[in-house]
Amino acid sequence: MSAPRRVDVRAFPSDTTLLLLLLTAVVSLNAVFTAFWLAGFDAGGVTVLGVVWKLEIVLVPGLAGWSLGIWWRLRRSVPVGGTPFTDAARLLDRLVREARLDDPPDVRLGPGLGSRAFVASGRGRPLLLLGPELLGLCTVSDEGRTVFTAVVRHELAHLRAGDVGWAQLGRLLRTSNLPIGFFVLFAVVLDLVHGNRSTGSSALAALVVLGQVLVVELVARAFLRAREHEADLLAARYGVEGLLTAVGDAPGVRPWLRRHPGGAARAAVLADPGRLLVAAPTRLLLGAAAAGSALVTLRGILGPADSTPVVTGAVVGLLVTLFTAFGIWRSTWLGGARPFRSAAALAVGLVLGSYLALFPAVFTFGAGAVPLRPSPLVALVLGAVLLCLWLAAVGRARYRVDPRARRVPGFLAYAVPAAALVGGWLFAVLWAWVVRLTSCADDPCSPTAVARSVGEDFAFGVTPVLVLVVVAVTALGPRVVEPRAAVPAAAAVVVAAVGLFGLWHWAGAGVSTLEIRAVVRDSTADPALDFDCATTAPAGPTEHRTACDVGGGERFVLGPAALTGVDVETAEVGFGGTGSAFVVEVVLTGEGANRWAALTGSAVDQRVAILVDGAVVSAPVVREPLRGTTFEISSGTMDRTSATELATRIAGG
Amino acid sequence: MTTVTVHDLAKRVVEAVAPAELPSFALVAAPYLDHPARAERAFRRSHDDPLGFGLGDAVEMITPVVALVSGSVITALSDGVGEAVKNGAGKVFRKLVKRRAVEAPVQEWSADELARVRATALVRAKALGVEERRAEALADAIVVALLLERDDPR
Repeated sequence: MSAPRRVDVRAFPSDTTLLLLLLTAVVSLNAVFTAFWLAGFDAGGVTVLGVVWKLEIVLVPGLAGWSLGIWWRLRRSVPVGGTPFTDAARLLDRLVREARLDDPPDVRLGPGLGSRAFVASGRGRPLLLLGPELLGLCTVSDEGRTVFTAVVRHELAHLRAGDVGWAQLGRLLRTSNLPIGFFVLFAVVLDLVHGNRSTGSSALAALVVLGQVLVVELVARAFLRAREHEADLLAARYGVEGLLTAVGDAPGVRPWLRRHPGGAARAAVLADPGRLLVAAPTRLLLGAAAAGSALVTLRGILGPADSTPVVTGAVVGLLVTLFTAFGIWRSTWLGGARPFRSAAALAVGLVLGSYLALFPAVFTFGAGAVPLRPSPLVALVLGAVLLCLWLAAVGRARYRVDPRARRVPGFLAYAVPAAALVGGWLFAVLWAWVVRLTSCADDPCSPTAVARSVGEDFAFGVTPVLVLVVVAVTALGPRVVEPRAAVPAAAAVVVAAVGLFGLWHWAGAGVSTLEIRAVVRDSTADPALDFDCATTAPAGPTEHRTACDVGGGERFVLGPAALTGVDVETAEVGFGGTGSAFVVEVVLTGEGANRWAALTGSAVDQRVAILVDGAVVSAPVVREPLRGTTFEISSGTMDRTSATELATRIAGG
Repeated sequence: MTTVTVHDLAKRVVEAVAPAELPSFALVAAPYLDHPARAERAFRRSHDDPLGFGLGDAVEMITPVVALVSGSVITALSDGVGEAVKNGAGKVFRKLVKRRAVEAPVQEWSADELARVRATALVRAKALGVEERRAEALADAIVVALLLERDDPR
């Protein structure tokens, strides 16, 4: 058995705090979604006031439970100073002064608490509640007094660490999650009763609600267990003997379900605090599951905007990457970082969590979740493995130059922004992939086309280059790099570079950019519109732009791109209505068809321009809203060869 | 007729086996004497309060066990020791009405009856998690306390 390493565990940021933040994000998103959903039933539709009011309905049980808890605790207890436990009261006074708390607790006796003790929020200042059997221990024997002192110091350590506030937040989140689950179940039952939903679908929705409540509860309990270890270590600064006697050495029964670790686990951490640094895979799994749920819910709240997948992936990806990073880095200093195990927990948690989101449970089970198809799953697993390998390499490289963790803030100063950038970008890409696959769930997309479109949109530009540079510099940059750290880091960089090159080669060869934009002005109706066609520059999909037709005769000012190549399912050669010319028949994805209908609906009697590689190939006038999934591109001059070439290039893009 | 109460019996036993616990006897024993069933459930349960200590059973007071054992002994005495220990019918009845006796008549108990009282106390103490040797001492103290209550009532 190896000797414990002398590493200050408090030098590292707590990954459990990030876990609680992930939990907060999940429950808050659920609350906002539920508030929006309930507000939708109001006569006047969704209004800000309506949403705020519904949010209040969702959150009130948690707040009410908190207030009632304080009232109940105060009602059932008396100040220790007024009881016969005078010796204990004197010792408590001394221990509270010794703890030097900013906000000393109101120390009270709970007659029904037996041998228990805990801290909780009170009116104005925190409460330290002790049972008579614990107070009595103080005068029974020296051993009893030692145990009493250790328990009180442990409780005061909770106060010193600010755990009351964290625990209160956890309680508020858990109690708020229950009414949210209730509303969802209520909707499901109503659907079932009215025949709008099958029994199987209702059962799945109920399972999702149960799963969501379970994940929230398990995350909250994992957080509390971690705080118990921290409180033990803080209390142990005054001596460990009393604590060891008090915690005993019994293993915990179902420790994953309890708020306290077992006695044996606590004693082991007291003997070797470095154990706390090792990230438990179950904790990572829970965090990833929370993140997976948040991805789907946030996407549902933000709606079908083009930027939604990127924003969702980047925000949630950043959080879950930091959470994973802290776990891996903490483990590194005990020699226990296992990147492949972490990657497995991360990938499994994300997929599982995406099916536990409440948002789709109301409508269709699994809608918006990571599809169980090879392409997104392989991409997700590969992404998770590369990310964890890089994080482990970064930690390992730093460990070589700072094995005692004496300069952790300096390490975090560059490692945290790097992890945020790389993780945010990676998950933005992965989530965009998933969203593009699921957006045509009714009419399955070609994974190849989706991969190409994702590669085209994300693999080139400043961000991926910056990410690669950051990956290389952080993994290889520290002064001393041992081969063990360099090999996986270099492998990750090489694989990423090869992947990018492959995507570039694959996506760039023979692919055209297709855009459909509303025409704002054209030179046919407005001859004053004139500019040099050679000066027209590409523009982002959300920006206006100028363009000319393929012959350079007509000039256009165009609105933002309503559809792009991403919305194209297939493109094939066909004959025009008269049969005199070849056309390209474009089949849209499900989401593309919706956008097409929205564009043509808002542009009746106006022109829309179909651009290929920045040139307008066709600009028909819309006579009525078009709700189909197909349209034709015809320029009047296309022969079979040029039509085939154009169809191939559009299908590729 | 003179009677012996659970409170008096328990206090006398604590005086004998753990005199250091006497100053806190009233407050510690109160829940076990007033609501024994509820207090026993809480006593047996493994506590897991948020931000509590969580464990804390390594060193504990004997008063709660004494109060619960005394309650069982007094209930057995009031039902008639022989019947209660032999067939447990009284126990079944008490469970049905969910009531425990708080006092029992003081009388000239035979050696056989006292042996049954001791057996009742011993079984109960062990069931509450008291180790063998300490449970034996507690059962002896119960018998002695009963005799003292008879011969030297307070």
